[in-house]
Amino acid sequence: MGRQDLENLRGFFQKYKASVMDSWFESILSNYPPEAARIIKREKDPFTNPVGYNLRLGMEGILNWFAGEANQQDVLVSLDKIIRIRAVQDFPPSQTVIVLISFKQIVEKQMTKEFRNQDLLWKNWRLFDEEIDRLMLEAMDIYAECREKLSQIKVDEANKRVFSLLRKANVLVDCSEESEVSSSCSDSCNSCEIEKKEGCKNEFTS
Amino acid sequence: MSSLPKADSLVSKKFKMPKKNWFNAPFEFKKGTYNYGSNPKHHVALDLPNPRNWSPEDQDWQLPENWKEILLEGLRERLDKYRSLKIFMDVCVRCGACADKCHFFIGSGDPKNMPFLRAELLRSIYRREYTKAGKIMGKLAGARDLTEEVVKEWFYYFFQCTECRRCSVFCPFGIDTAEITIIARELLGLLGVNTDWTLASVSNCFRVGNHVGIPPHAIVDTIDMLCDDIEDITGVRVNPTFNRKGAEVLFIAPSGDFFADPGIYTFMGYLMLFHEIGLDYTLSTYASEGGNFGLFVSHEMMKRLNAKMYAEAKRLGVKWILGGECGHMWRVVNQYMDTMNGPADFLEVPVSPITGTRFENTKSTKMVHITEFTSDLIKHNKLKLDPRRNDQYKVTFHDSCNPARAMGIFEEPRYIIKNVCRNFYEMPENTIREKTFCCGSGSGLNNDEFLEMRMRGGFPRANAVKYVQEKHGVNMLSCICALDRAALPPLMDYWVPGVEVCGVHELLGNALVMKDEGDRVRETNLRGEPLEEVGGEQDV
Repeated sequence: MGRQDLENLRGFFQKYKASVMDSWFESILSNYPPEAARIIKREKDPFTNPVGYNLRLGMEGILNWFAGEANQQDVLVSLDKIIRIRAVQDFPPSQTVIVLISFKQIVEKQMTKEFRNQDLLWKNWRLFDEEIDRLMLEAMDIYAECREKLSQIKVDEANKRVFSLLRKANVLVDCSEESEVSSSCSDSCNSCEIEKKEGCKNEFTS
Repeated sequence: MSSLPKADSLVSKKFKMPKKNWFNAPFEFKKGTYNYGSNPKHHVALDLPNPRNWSPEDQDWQLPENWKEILLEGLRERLDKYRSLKIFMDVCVRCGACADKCHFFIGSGDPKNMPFLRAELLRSIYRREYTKAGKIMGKLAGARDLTEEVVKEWFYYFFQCTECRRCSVFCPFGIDTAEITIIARELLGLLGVNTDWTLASVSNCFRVGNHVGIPPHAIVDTIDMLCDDIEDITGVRVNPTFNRKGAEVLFIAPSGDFFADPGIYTFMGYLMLFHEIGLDYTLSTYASEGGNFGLFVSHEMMKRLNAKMYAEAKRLGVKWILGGECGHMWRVVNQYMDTMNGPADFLEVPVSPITGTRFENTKSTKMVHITEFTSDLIKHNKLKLDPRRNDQYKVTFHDSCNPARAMGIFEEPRYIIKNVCRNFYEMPENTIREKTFCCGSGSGLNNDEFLEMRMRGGFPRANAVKYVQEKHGVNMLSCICALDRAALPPLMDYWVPGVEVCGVHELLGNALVMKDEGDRVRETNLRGEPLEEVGGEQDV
């Protein structure tokens, strides 16, 4: 794909950023009950309406990236904003990442109107399609990371809740210095003198 | 492969929300958004009705045969007893001022989490049974019949309210939605419909003395271990006493402060402070819990647990009670104790033995909040502090709901923080003080099975923390509630990685220059993290 093609695609997104944004936001809002969608759409204060604010911020970031106004790292941060919220809301996994498919469909409609020349349309679409598929894979990674984080939180919480008691019972192991503990001790880890150190997840040991 | 849906079909209209009125919108018990049903052994221990093994996902909840009668009679009794409830049932005009103020609604987008709609779940039954318009016009007057589905819906949504009372700040009529939740939970309790997490904590507290159910000798051992840590860090041995008769002050903290990470560092801060000022105090292994999960079960249960603290104060013959950084303990003490178990005539009006300040505001309850006590000490210049020892922290303060909205404790913790830290940044105005956002896990909802809902509910708070993290580099979220100290770390972990959570007295403990430390220079803070080079003498 040549430089000129990339410029074309960027130009397209610069031109239609606002209208694509509006349609895309509407499509996301349709996932929420109408009473909530009204508030998510209307309220502009970022602290009164964090969901609407962060969704918008994430979507703008993705559009900016396609418009050539943001870098690779920024687009992942933007994607994270959207997926992190939806990963804990009432959606199955497919519906969490569906925001990108909605985006794709909205862009497709707009692109078909914009590029009457089939060759030009195909070139732009292919370039966009490749990137959006890549973003989709990134979105899956972020989603999985969010869900794994929730599982880890449950484990950490169970340990932290009774941290003193676990420590008293000598059932904590300092994972950051695991090798040191095992090399200096002929018995099981439970009999070692254990201190809480930075980075330790307070995990149980057998 | 043919069974895989096409991408097009996934974004088809079938995933759009139904256009049904909220009143008829279905709900489902989905994992992560509801609390487990109560274990029968706790019912037996607490003498509560209908002990049985059950799950909210069961079709049959095994309610008593005459459940409807019990519930309606319970509601009638409470309408007669609490005038406020009658007013709250009648006065709401559904203006919507509270609609977007609930953290659970903001995070989830579920309309039934709008405070006025959540209250409608109860109001609709009230109208049907106790108002003429509701009896005659039914649905047209916003009334509906009481069915088992309604009971299930109550359980789902009234345990998606943290009783934080943010909505009541914005209600032009002053309707306290938390009071409605409290009544609804109490009514459910009449049928034996409770959550396991809450009832287990109450049962432990009632029988053993604290939510975790730790017996006296383990409490002493655990606190002794914290004293060892203090000695390692400061070189000073603090020696708290337990169940000592004749002490001037009984100190009661939430049990999370001596068992849970990071609460233990706050507890170390308390102990260091008391040692430094030579306070004549004792801890109790019987009243070893400040928190009161009874508030989340019923008025009766809240009264039972609160009475324990005062019974112990009487038994030990102390003059007054000092309370730690706790949330709902303070709501119960400040708003209910006086008419429930008070006035505590057998105690004296608290007077600080160090400054002579008489805490007139506690004339009836005889219980002083530790941030009031400590800020008074600082105001009178009784403490030597080195705020540079907290220089590695850029601190913000989360107003814990109950001390903030149920007590008006806004300035005292800030005054302490500003004296013990050099980097303090406020979160945006509409997320602090009386408008503070809940941690999303209060009122007995800080359990694992409810985690997704907690993440949704805590998002508004986390969002404000993220703002100060990005703007000022904030890395420490301080608070004055043990539930916050338990619930905010996972919330930060998910939404704002890099921000830790602490109590105000942990920061104080770090900055406190103890006389007995002599010339010794501290190498670490209370968490065992090396102190940054502060340059020159530490004890300014």
